[in-house]
Amino acid sequence: MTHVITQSCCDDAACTAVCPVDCIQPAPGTPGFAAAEMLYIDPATCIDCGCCVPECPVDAIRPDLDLPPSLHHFAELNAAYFEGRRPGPVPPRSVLPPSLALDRRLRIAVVGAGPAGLYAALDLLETGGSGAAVDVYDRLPTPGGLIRYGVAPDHPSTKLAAEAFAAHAGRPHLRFRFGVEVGSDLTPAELGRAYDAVVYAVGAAGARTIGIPGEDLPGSLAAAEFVAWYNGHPDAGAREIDLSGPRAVVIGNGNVALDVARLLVSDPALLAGTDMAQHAVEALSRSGIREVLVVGRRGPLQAAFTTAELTALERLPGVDVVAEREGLDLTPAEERTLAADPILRARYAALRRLATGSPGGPARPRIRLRFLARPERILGSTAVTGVRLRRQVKRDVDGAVTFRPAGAAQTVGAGLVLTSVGYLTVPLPGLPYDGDRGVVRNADGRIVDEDGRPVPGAYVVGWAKRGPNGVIGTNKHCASATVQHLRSDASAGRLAPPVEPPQWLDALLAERCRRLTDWAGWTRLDRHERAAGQAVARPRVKVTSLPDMWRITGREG
Amino acid sequence: MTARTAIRTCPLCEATCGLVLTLYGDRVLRTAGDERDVFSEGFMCPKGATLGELHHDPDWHRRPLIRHRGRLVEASWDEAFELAGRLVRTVVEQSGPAAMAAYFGNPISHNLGGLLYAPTYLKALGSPRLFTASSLDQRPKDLVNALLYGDRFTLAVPDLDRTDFLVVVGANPVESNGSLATAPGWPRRLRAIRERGGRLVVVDPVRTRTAELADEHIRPRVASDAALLASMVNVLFDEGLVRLGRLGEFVTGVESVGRALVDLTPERVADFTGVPARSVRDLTRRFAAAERACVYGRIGTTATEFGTLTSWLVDLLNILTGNLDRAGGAMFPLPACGSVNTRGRPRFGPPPRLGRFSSRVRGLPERFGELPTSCLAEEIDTPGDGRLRGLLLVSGNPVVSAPNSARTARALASLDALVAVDPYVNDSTRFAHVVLPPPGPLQRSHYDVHFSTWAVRNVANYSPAVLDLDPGQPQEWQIMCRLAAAFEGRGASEADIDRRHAESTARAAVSDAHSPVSGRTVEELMAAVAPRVGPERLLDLMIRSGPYGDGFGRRPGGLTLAVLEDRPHGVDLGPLRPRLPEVLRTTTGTVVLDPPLVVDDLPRLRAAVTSGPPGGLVLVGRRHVRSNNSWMGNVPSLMTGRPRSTLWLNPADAERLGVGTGDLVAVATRVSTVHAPAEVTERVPAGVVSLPHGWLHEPDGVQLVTARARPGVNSNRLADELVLDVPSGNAVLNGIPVRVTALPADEH
Repeated sequence: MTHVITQSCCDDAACTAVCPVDCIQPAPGTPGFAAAEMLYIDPATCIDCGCCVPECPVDAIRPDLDLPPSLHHFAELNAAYFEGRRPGPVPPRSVLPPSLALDRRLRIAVVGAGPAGLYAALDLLETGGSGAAVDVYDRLPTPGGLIRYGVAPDHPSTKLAAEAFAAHAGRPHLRFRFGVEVGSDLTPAELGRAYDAVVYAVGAAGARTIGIPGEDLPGSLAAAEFVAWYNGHPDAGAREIDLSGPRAVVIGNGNVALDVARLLVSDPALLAGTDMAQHAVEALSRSGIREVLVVGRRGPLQAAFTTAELTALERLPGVDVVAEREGLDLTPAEERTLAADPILRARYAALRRLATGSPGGPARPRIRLRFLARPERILGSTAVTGVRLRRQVKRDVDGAVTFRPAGAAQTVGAGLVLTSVGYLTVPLPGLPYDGDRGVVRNADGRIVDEDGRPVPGAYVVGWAKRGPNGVIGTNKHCASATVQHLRSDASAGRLAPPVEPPQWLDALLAERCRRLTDWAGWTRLDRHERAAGQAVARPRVKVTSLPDMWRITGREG
Repeated sequence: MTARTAIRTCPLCEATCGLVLTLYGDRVLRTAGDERDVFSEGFMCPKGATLGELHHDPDWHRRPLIRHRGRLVEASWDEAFELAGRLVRTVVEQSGPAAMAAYFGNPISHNLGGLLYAPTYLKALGSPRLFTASSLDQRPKDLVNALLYGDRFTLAVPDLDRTDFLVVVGANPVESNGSLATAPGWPRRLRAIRERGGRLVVVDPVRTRTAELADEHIRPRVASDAALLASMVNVLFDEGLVRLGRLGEFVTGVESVGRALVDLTPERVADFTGVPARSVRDLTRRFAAAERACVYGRIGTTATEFGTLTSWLVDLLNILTGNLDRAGGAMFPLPACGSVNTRGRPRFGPPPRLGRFSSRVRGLPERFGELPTSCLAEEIDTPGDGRLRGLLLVSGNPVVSAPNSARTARALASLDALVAVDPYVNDSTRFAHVVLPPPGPLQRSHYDVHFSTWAVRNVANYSPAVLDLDPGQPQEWQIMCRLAAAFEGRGASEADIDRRHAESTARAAVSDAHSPVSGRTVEELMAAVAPRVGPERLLDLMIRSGPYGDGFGRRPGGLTLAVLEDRPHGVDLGPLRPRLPEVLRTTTGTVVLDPPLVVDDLPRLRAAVTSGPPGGLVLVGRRHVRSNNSWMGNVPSLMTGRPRSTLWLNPADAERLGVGTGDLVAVATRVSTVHAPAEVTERVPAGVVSLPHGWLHEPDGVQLVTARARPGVNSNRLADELVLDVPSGNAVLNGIPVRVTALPADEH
């Protein structure tokens, strides 16, 4: 008997803090934590107490006896992680009372109510106790950021993270100001005048481009836009996307690429039971797409998708998933890497299975995974008709694998091309920006100017700090690191008290921001959506137009 | 220095799991369940896993504390015993021995030295008023055991590993590790019932983790178990399902019981219990038809308004279906160290000690020499002759554990002498004049004298101490002996007290005509166990003169402590065996099913059934595997994670009150009001709210850094000391009517 961590693991590592035998690894503070795809339970040391289960915000931990067939393979994956590892000493733990002993209560603004912002707010309240008061700003009345607008609709467990945050919404000294856009309604300078510190959690709403011709053709769009569309982000609206098919190409092979590929060929009846935006459910149910080609420039070991997502894809009902065999050979350096990493081995084994399995038949929709293919041009004159790809070869140089284009180009016909090669933080006027990395310029969370000097009282967390990597819970540790800097700056007297009283900001908002609402406003919208969902056997029916959202929250459009 | 391993039995709860500790020097690096333990076979819970952390708790005092100018300060052991003796003798001299009381918390029964040496200082105090945690817990079961079988500890435990039909009532052993039935690894044993084709039925208003393992979960209204079980017994009679089998020879009063319960039909009580009559009839028929079946009840059946009746009905169901004392039913263990039911004349014994005196203020009758803990505070704070002025507190925290915490705290603060044997300055001991800390759990030896008498398999397991004492630090039994000497005030030494105690143990054995050492001399036995002293000497005496013992040569190859010392994973003495009628110690030599003390309480139940279910919300407790009653809240590894001290609330009630998870609510009773964060969950049915017990609330003066950082809400601030299970005097800690209101969010 053991417990098993499954697909929706969010890496927040809340489970590790309660494990009495330290069997959940890699734990925060250990070398592998930062790079971990997910966490794993050691079946040899787990005592099956189940204490970790309620700590998990996304319901990822199950007793092995109760694993549904779709998650069975996670038992092996968990065990595989511990191959060759011996359990070390159980580290001492401590539970500390909040401590932020200053002569005044710090007033802190958090800009952005996504996971990074909410983790930062909660960390401030937990470590600061009554020494900190936090206002969380968001331009939308919907907290959760990418939990609502990024997580795939067929991953409902992952969305449970929102409820874990909601349980803290009523905390003392925590306030929400929804409907305020920092940058237009308020400037960073104005916020700085009203608060001791401002923590920016503005995410990475911009998509990186590949920089090849044809990217701006109709039918070519960033996967991020497609995600926003099917998740009902009000900025995406109910735009028309040509899904007439029969093939779509996804460039890039991270988890977002797998999400969009999967949703493009999923049974529409299944999607209709999720919280996918209604316009997307309708469009996908009329879709003519029969094949999605997922293209990666590099090899199978360098692919950005996680083992958990790949192995879940293997079990997608009614869909054939095929890995093209040509790209799967390994160099000696790669063989060595594989030998040292059981999780990578599990991933590679899955790809091997997908390369040799017998497809269910031509009638079934299909996802093809192609490696070592470099996109050179998106083809078409008035709209996308295909993609030109060039084969890459790899070889070891000084023990490391390198890639270069070789051989002939080939053309793949497609009516839809989705590029999924990364995100950028959109520069915010008045905040230093690091154009190379596409993030707010910062030193481990302290916002710094061109010369690397900290901007007093200005901090950043999440994707705007570290770039677009990690999963929901990664932001907890990211936020905690920034908050630690904020606390030490506060203790060292490096934070200037607000220049203006709270009333000054209230007056400014009253004048500029007619939509201002709070958690109660969101609760009204949330209830409205859930009630609408209940009527049609869906978790919720999302409201996707801003005027409707403001109306339901009780504010003017 | 290299890492070493030590094997020991976990002393924290009733489950008695074997642990393997990996140590480096005196630090525990890692703890695992002992796969080779004959009983626990590798099972371990989070508390056992963090035993090392408990041992090294920086707030666990290693030196005694005495009150000096209003503050507790460290002192020498001599100073501490001198002050304890002086304070207590002053109380006794001025107000008589009845002005002095002792309170025992539950950890004493898990503690070899503490348990075996209690008689020494109680004797030295000259019969103090005695209070224990038992009257906050299982006193109703004690009472029924005494009335039916002749001793309060003669408990019929579920034969867990052989039963095919287990009905668990008001118990959550998946979280608690089981109680009144010692069985390490309950989850595994419960699953095994289903794996061998048996059936697990859980009767509990709350969807507990135990209920989640069940084939069937029956959710009666809170505190209606007595009516539900009475109606099951009624069905046995009504449908001709009574089958005593061989029990017929030893059981009387069957017809009388049938008559007493004749009106409590499932149809009559259905509105009160909320369980449809046909479900009750169906369950009863299946239970009666099963080959090996057992009803097992725990805290939800005892710390309630009708605790005694419910406890009695649990035994009745087992007896009337012939399941008592047969494999797979409810059976009597035979412990290696002996017990009341292994000593003296088999089958016959004196009447139980009940009602020989009463409490001063409310006139509540004593039970087994104890007064209900619910009247501890009033015995202190009510003026008049015979008022309690001194208290010896042994591993007890009544401010947290007893009903009406605020009153208990005020009462303790007013005492002239409060002497505590406790490692911590907690909610109760912060008022002490003297605190005598026992050594840490790894510095003590262990043998489960008490819980081996309630184990679902006969086993014997002795663990030596893992770590040495600090220089000058006394063992707990030495603290007890020195306290006894200090209370006597006649200059006896620790060794004198210890020797007298061992001699009296030996004397009892040799003068018992039915003992294997009958007729031997005290000197002979004392010489045979030399040079052992302390609890090991007592334990060797008990084991060797016990049911499996070597009888000091009379039974070669029999058990001795030395044998156990050679077997660190324990000695398996086999599955439980039938023991009727020799296990009895009743005046009649039979099991009298209809004791008046119990049957006379039926009108109270009938009146409750007639008046119907009360409206409003009721509060029940709950257990968490990382907690242990009022203590262990200072172990960081057990206190991390989500807040556990939350008020569970059904979604329907939450909706009506307008609260969501995380919102603060006020919970009020006659006694007090507390504030707790709400946690909305379908685990509790509509109309029921739940708070865990044992949390701190009043940290002023409490020296527990971790516990204070996670203070929680003490549910006993709400419990009413005036509401009792009448026959037993047990506190009612489940089924407390409460008012719950939403609190406005804090504004800043």
